[in-house]
Amino acid sequence: MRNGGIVLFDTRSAGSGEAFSPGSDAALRRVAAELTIPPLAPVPADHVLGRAFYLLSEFPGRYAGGQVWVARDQDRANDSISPVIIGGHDWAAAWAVDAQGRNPFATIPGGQRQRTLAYRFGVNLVMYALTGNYKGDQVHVPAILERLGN
Amino acid sequence: MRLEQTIAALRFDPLLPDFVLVALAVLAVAVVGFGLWRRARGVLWRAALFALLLGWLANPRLVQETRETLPDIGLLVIDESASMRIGDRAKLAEQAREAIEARAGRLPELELRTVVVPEAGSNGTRLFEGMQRALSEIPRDRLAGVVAVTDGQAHDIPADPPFDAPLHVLVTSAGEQTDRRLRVIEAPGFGLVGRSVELRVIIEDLGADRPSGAARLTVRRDGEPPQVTSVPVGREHRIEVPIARAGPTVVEMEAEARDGEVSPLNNRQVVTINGVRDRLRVLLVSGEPHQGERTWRRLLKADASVDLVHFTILRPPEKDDLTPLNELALIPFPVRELFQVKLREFDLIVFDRFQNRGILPPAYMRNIAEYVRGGGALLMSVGPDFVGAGSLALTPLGQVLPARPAGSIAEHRFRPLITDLGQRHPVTAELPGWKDGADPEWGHWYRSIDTSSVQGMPLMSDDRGAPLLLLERVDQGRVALFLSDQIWLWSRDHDGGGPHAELLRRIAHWLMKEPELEEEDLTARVEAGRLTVERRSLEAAPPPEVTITDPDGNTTRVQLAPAGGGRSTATLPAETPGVWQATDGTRTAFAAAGAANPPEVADLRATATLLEPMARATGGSVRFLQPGGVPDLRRTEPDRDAAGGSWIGLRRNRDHLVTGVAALPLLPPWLALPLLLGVAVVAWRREGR
Repeated sequence: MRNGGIVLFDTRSAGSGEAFSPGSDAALRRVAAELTIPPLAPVPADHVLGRAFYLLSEFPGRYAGGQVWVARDQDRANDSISPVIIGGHDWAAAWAVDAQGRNPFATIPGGQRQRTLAYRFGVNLVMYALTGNYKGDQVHVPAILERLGN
Repeated sequence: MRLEQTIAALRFDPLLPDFVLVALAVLAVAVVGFGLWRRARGVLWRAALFALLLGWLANPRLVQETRETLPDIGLLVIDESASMRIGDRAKLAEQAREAIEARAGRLPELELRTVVVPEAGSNGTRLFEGMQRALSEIPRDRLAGVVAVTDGQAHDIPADPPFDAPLHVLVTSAGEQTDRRLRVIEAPGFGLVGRSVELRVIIEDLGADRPSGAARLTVRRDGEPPQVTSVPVGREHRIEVPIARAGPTVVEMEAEARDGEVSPLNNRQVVTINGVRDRLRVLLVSGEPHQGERTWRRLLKADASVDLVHFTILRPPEKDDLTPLNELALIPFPVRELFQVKLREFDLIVFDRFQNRGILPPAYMRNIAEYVRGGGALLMSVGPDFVGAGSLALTPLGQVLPARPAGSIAEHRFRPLITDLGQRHPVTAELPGWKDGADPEWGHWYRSIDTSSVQGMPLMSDDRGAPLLLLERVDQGRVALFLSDQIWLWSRDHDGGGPHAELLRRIAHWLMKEPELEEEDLTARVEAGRLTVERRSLEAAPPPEVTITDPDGNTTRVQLAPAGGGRSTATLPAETPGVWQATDGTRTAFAAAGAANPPEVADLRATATLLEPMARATGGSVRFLQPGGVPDLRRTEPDRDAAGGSWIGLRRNRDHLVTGVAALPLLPPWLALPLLLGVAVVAWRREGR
């Protein structure tokens, strides 16, 4: 995490999945105690995670609803990347494909749209890990170009 | 020392309290007045009796002192500040000192104390400070006068004379002198690279009757051919100095000497301007997202002075999954603006695993090649993208690259090594973690790109000796080619990590022509009175001798000693202010040594004008030591002139010490009693007649 890595915690207990994994919050707390977790905040609406590739306003996995948490402060030395992303949407279950090419886990409350959005979140997550705050920077490009003229 | 007895005062020691005496006196006056009114006989005798009686009661005494006269003290102040080294000033001062000390020794009742005002660092000549220190040990009543032997340049002249005794100034020259000086009015210490800074200077003729005309001003900048201009004397002149690169630019300015001026020492000024970059503008062009991308971003974004424009292709045009555009966060990039209009504004362009799948038209690639040839900086880090149809080597940019892909990718585990050349090159020399003759302390990489037709300088290689890092100069510009895309493994601490930040920083700085990373360079600098010459060279041959030229034009030859990493150094003392020059035959370096004591060289004239008002105010004099020689010393009375045609006077103070006091009663009882009785009897007889 100190060298730019990102850890995604999935408690599989958010929103509609609240009752499915008792004790997961306690487990998260136990794991996180060993790590240097920066102060967290809910993902703001303009966060790069929501526009690294696809435009997303929520990040559903197998479960929808609930909150995703990222570092509250922007660390310039780390390209303003949050070293932790904490959610409880059981994303891996939504992405899972079995040998027959079927999805073994139904999304809750359900629907193809939710699964598509889960995939899109996955793509954004990978983009976020690879390109960092690139999309966040693009906002500043016109201003920099303006300055270049002088 | 001499003893003498003097009647010093008349003193009254009344036998009765004052008011009793006054009351008696009033009574006496009343009685005598009444007698006069009544025309009584013998009233004058009676008055005499009263006067005598009162006089006796008042007890008058004569005070007699035994005095010891003290010798007067003369103070001789010798200026030995740096400006006294000019011409024969020091010799004249020494002669004057000997003559005055000898003559003072022959004068009776005079003690001469000599105090030397030394060179005092950066504060100029502290003549009065030195004087005050000596005066604090001399009783003011015994000070006969101060004789100062100086060039007249004192920098601490107080408004009022600090002592009450004649000040005689002996100036170590034959009359007023003239001095031309070059003065820097304003010189910025920093300048932005690519812009110009303006120096404001003025040539002044000090001591000249009518400063006018013009003088030639020679300006040299970092060893370039000198520029000579004619500059009017006494008027401000502006010099434009373009700042071509980061780091110090040494500007040396010299005004031609004036006929008869005392010294050309202050006709020369040296200004060092540090070139600094404005915000660093970096264009990062990366290919499809990969693990290494954020290494670049972390490096470039962490520095607040870097303006990063990052251009990457998240989705190549041929890939489209029919997602509605309003659900995609894809923003069209201002490509034309970047690669056509504003390209030359960038200080550095970085290509990171970029392959051109028809995204950038050849015209833009040609622009980048032109940008490099015109003095730009290009850093390329290539991976598998370099091998294949989209390779940048196949675009017009390929012409400025130091190698072409051989067509194969070498995937094997190896530790990046620094070549023999690299160990002498400032970019890779003494890289943290490098161990001479042992495995370097950094992690493994797993991929390198095979190349053919390699040019430029291979600084790093893999374990087979295949180049890993190539640097090359292309016309005015510079190119660095990293033949692996795995430096990010170092940044993530894989296998121990490595000095990726330091290496990339040095490559970038070399590309942007930072002087500290020039591989063939000679630098000189003066710090704390020592000149350090450093030579860097890629040649393994032993370092040559360098020729050092001091500001006065004397040359010495110094052998450089190897210092590792392609460097060799030598240091030697450099006390003389001005420009020091070092040359190894091909390169020349300049270093500016500031004057150790700027006020001392600001005005080199020997002059009477500065100290004249002060000397006049004390009743003293100012004269030149030539041609008249050292004036005679005389003792003068306090109210008489303290200087004459060929002599200077030291005041006779007649200060003394009282060693004994004796009181002599004027009306002792044995005299007062008969007198009183006699006058009383006479008065009584007159009355009784």
